[in-house]
Amino acid sequence: MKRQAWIASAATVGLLLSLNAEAHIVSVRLGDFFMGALHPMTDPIDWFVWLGLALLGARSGREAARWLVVAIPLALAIGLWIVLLSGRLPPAFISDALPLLAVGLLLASGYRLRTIGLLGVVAGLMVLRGAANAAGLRLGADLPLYVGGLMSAGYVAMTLLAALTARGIADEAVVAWRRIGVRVLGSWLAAAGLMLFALGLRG
Amino acid sequence: MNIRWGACALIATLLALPASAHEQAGLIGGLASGILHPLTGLDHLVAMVAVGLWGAELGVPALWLLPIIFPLVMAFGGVLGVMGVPLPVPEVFVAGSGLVLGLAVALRWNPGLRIAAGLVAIFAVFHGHAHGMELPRAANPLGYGVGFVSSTGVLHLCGIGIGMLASRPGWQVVYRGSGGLIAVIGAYFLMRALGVLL
Repeated sequence: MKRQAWIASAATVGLLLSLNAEAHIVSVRLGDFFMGALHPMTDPIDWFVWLGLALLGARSGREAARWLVVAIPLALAIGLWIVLLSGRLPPAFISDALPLLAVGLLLASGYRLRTIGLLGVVAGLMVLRGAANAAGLRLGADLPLYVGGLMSAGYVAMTLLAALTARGIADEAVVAWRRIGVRVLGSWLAAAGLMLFALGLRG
Repeated sequence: MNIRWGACALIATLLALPASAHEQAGLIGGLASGILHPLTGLDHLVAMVAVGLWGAELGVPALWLLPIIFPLVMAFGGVLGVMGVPLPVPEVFVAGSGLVLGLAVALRWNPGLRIAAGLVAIFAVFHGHAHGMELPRAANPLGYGVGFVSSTGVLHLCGIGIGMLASRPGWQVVYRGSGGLIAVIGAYFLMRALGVLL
């Protein structure tokens, strides 16, 4: 009993004397790379837009979807560079609401884009999202590492999402309700984007 | 023994995290607020279920067109509400939608896709407008939008599910009865909106 009391007391003192954990590797070595890679994961708009683009790519066919894997990381990097050069972030209701609305409307319409059209849409929207992700760039951060992280996240996420969604909806033999489900999801995304746009305008 | 309990209590206290008791905060708060908003207004709830029920009665393509088009049109109405654009007698249209759609279901009215879609679209604008006007300023915009739209979509799906059950033998009475109930609730709200009832 006495031994247990000593252990409990020592544990309590240890807890009381504990300092902040230095577990966050953001400020050392490859920290800025991970910061760039994780920043899009902290924003639900990126989740929705990336998922929507993957669905759009998958519906446009496997050949078109393959281009997304290259186009998205590049467009993200271009968007970030534009912010760095201009020194201004785009208004949230443009960089957040517009991609959500555009992706949602394209999905809801059921229109199958050609490769060049798909690339144009993706490039435009991802430049906006790249610009929005520039907000996560802290002062003094290693820029190439941050951009590398952001591009890697775009590449990995899009490869996985496009592959999964292509498997789920691109095949001609896929049951009709899945395609209807994708259009309904697009409609919901567009509606949320529209609301976001209005709320952003209202301020 | 007491020392052990004391130590446990002390450790538990030290490891305690802040309680997230304020549901209106952040993305999750906005989402919760958006999901609950269509569910807490009975007039809106019954009208959305009626849209799904009617879609099931009208069959393909209305069955899958309504859940695609309705959220968009409703969001457009929401934008008008958020921007403060006034619409004439919105309460009457919102309450009247329950009565009209309920009667359409109860009477198994099939006016064709264009008329049905046009009617539903008009009601959708007014429902969206009401939500836009009542939008809590503190709510996270994305969370609120996603919650509000998905909650309305789930209500449609409930209506479609009940409507599809109606194709089974003996279920017609449930389908038409649901429409009748919705019409009665709509009539009640309409009389309140017109000032006949307090």
